[in-house]
Amino acid sequence: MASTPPQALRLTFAWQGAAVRLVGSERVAMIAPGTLTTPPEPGQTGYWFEVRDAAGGVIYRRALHKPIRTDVEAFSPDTRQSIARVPVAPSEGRFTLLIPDAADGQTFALHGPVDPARPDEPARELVRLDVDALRRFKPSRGTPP
Amino acid sequence: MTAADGFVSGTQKIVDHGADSARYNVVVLGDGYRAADMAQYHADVQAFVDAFRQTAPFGDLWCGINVHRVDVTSTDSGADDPLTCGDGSAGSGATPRTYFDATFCSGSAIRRLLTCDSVRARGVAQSQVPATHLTLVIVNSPLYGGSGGDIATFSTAPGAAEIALHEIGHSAFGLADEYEYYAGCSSGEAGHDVYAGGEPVEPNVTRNTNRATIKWRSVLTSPQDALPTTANANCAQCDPQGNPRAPDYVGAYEGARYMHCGCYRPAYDCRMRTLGQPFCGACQKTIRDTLAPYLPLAWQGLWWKSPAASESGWGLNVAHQGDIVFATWFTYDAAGKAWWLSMTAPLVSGGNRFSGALHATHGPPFSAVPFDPTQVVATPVGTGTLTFNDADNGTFAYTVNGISQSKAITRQVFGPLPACRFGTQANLAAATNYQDLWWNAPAGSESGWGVNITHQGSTLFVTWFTYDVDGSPLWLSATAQKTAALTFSGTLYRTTGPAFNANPWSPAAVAATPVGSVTLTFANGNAAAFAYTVNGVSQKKQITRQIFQAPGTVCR
Repeated sequence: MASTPPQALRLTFAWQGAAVRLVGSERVAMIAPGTLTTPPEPGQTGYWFEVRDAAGGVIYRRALHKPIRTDVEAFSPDTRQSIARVPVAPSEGRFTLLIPDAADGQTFALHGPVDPARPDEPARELVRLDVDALRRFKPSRGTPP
Repeated sequence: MTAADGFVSGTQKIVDHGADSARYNVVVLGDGYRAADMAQYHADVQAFVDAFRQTAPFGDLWCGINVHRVDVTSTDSGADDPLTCGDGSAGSGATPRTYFDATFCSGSAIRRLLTCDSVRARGVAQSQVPATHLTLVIVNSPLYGGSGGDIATFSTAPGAAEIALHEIGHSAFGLADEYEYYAGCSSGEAGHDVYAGGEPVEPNVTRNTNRATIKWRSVLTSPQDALPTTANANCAQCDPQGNPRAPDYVGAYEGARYMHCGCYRPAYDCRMRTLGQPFCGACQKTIRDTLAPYLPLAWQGLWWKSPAASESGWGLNVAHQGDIVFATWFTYDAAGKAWWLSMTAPLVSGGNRFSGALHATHGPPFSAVPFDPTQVVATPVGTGTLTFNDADNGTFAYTVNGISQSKAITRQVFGPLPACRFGTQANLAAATNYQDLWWNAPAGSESGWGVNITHQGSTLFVTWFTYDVDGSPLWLSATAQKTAALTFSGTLYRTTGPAFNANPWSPAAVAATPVGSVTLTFANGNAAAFAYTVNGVSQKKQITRQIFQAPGTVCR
């Protein structure tokens, strides 16, 4: 017996310097990665995103590693120290996230440092959007797909 | 890059574990491969896929992963290699025309920083495979390089695939860097002495050394060792001390996330700290948790004729681990005597169809001491195919001694049905549902007999396949109720019934005769004492789960 495939929303964000904005939202027949269950802590650092229900409960949450680039990793085949970091000038780029298109999903939020160059500062809410708005999202004219 | 720099010629699903909508989809693209290089591209992708699968824990989770290879032809071979770079290195000056415009010395910073047009790569991946989760780009260059971000890019140089594996840790699993420096331990760096921020959100770094609350407490190696495992005596530099524990020990080592002190990592070394090292235990748990939704439900358990009870008296026990099913069919021979057949059936198509040879087995009597596994003789009697339509329904088609039949089957339900998944729990001892195929401990010591346990609620249904006093196949069954915290007991029955090929097959002709009793006492989720009395013969055996594809399947 065939069942309805699960659905996810693929969100594409563009960043320029510290500014982040949604540029794409697409409903796709796929499963979003497993949620992380570690509860948020006051003063927590780093980037994460979450989906909350109407009562404010977290129904989906995942950590993100440095979606806004302020430095890069330099790799070496020398196993004594195969990775190091090198700062780069502020620039622009994109990243994508997957969230479950769950019936009880009410709000989406992306958290991270206000200044990407100061990653040890407590995270703040950078983006907050209604899940319904994500489902209806249309990119503005001139925005590349 | 322009459209004239190449084209996409097609996509091949080179690892297929089922519908893209239900699996984790890895999409591999190539850059700098001309039409004449396609055979090499295919070999390079396969080499990476092999390395990916061999990287723990991905092999355990393989049945939840699809891999798609997108064939992209570039006009020229290789990648841009600027003459000069910010790190002072010299390049060849090559500027080949390639589809994703891969270049070394990206941003004029570091020669080994190899990037490509990630927007274009992402677009191609998602247009070819809409359910893309992870996109990788292999660049046809012998120069060492790679980069991360939304798209992991790496060259074909020896060891460069390690860059992709590290970057997958970041992009797919949200793992932090575990190295304790920024520019390098010998760089003389300042501002990386002591971490003063809040708790990092990533699952593999922490400032918390309380063993009761540390975020990776479930994978700590020792239940009593003090934390932290190491402390850095001089926070002005990287900790020079060696690892006081075994390489795979999970504790709390000071120095992580670019800081010499105040932030801790789970293991002395890890792929998120040093290329070429295994992922540490905390990272592996995160990977398992992230990929758990993609693992197909295992069809492990007890099945019988559908509709339920329509042919009560025979059944099929299924042990399902990865891409393999081991089935034991409890039925009756032409004389109505209890008869069991077994089948090792690999996955043959579509993620839901398993097929293999059916064997009838003779061996030493159940009461033989010692039980000599070399005396067990398995004889092929036909073939069987199991096709599962959904989690609870399927078809068992077989040919036995030239007789072909097909039966609709469904799960036998006598309590709350557990959900079983392969690969989600490496520590079988921690399992609290005992549903599985068990055999004598230590594993393999008495190969030839076994016990199928179906565990629903506080009831076990036990089918023991062994041998009669004349060495012929014999199976006995029991419904064992929980009598203490870890103990289940019940009456053992020997059954006779219509021959396997009877048509119609009448359950009214089945007769069950009590022949003794059985008690199972579990030391943990992977060890039990199997004590029984059959026709006045009392014995006790230590049993363990039979793992034919690690790490096995656990039901919850």
